[in-house]
Amino acid sequence: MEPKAKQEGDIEKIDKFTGYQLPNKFKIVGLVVFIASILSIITSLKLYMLDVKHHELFERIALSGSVIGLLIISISKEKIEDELIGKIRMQSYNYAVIMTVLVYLALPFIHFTIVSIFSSMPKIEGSKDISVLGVLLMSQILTFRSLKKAYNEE
Amino acid sequence: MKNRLKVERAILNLTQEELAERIGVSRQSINSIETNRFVPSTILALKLSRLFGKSVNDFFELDDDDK
Repeated sequence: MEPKAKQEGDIEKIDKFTGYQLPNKFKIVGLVVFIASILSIITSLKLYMLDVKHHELFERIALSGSVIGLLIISISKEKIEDELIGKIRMQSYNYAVIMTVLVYLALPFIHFTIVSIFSSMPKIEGSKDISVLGVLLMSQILTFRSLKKAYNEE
Repeated sequence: MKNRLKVERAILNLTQEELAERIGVSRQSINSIETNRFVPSTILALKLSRLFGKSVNDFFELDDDDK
């Protein structure tokens, strides 16, 4: 009895952790937040009135805002949430993770190749956030293993 | 998988939208099942069976592509 109860508890725990979603109306909220953040970055580039220290902070807040907007769109429900939509959502997250990792890995090398055509001293430079991809993939692998355990009754 | 959903739907004289509403899914789900783009879950198949008054095997069938 005890192991079974623990497994059900695990599934509930993981479902609670991964089964959150915002109501459908939030899609518009997310879009507004995203557009507002992008606009504020564009306008701040034109009117460079803040001093350097505050400008960087402002830019960071605005960029975070745009990401938050996209996140809100991503985790908002559709009008009707059924199993087809659930499957589509899972497939889209799958695709997004793998595509992003591959593109971010390739970009520095593509950049390096293009620069080396025009200059004899090319320097390889890449995104400093590449460790984020490692964290992302690590959490996918760990979540997968933990879900496997939760679904597996011995 | 082969399906006779369209036929069963016609027998009950329902549009895709009406069938979707009765089962509790979106019209897109019914459409993608009928056009063989989506295989429904067992629960969804049983709900269809209850609505049509027929066994699941009467409107879903394995074909040679399913091993």
